[in-house]
Amino acid sequence: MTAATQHRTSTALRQIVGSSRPVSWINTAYPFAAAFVMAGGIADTGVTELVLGALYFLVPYNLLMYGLNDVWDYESDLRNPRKGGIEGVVLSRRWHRVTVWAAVATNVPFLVYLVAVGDPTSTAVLAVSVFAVVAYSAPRLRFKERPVLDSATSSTHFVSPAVFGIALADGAFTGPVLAALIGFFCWGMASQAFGAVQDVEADRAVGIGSVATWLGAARTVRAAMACYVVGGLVLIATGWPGMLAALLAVPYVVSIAPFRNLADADCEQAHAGWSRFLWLNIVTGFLVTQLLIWIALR
Amino acid sequence: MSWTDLVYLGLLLGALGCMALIDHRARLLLFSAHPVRGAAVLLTGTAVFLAWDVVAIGADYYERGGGAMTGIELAPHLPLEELFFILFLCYVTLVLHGLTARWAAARARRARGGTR
Repeated sequence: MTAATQHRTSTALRQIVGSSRPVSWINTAYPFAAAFVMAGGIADTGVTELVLGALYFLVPYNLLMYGLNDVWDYESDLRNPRKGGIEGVVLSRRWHRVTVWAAVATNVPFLVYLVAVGDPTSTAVLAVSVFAVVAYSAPRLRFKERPVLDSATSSTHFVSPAVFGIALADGAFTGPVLAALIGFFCWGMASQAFGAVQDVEADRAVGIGSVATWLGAARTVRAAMACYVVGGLVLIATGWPGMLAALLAVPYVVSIAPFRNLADADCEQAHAGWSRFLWLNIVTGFLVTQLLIWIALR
Repeated sequence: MSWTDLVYLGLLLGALGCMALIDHRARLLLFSAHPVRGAAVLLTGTAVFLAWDVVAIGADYYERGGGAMTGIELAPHLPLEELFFILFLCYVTLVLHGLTARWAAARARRARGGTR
């Protein structure tokens, strides 16, 4: 391999890994792995399923979600300086084919495996999961541009790996389990809606719809706050000690509350709230883990 | 021995690798200006916790449990994985300490209105 090809290969790898949003890998792998383990998957199914499933939701799943999103969003991303930072690499056109190829090539083997070790229920969930990932940004479907459906689809990206984990582990969808999943889903919808607030003006300028362009900045923030509160209340139904997770909704409400009167013209100020959200997730994930360990040891 | 017996050790090595990457990026400990001092602190912490383990195992407080492990024991009830776990525990603590100290120093500098 010549130095030039080597350089090109490493640039391609950098582009592909960057477009899969390493900062978000944990957000999809963790729900799968935690749900699989908590549903008793290791004893009933096996460590191989856990490891390969977690690896799938760690990288290939995110590459499919964000890589395709970047390719399909190319035009609007070009006008958005924020997309060049932590939230992703604006893909230049020459990398589009490489990204699509890498996304498909890394997804297919894992999907074949997960279908092979699953049953009809788990495979149906996996199908919903992959459909939501593709439909979010695929031409014509463009769920991300349809108010409310955008938030629900985005939340599905994070909750469906957990549902899949439970289904793969042959776990029961009992009341507390459903409460945990619904609470998680509310959190996901609220977070996506709040995330869209910072892009209100940029999205409107290029004629893209979202829950935030539809409701306006202030009302979207209030809707997100309400959604966090509802999610927290639903978590109370998980029973002791799972209900302690309801408290974890409070920092999210407090974190975005300062933006409840945000004017659409000032929407970019919400980016400070988004940066705080990214940090809050790490702390919350740690606390959720402690809670799950407690529940598992009981 | 099945490959799944290596999962826990693999995860620990992966987590240690991540700590090394942060260390390398921020030049905190083994990649700082004083790598020998950094290594000495890391190994001292590891030795202390290892001694703690040995005492606790001797007093029948700790015993080996859990799956996805190699089954290799350094001493009765002291699995190979425990050594890497303790090493990781000390490394993550020192990395967090280094990052927090640096963040606090930067904050103090800003508060004094110092040059940036």
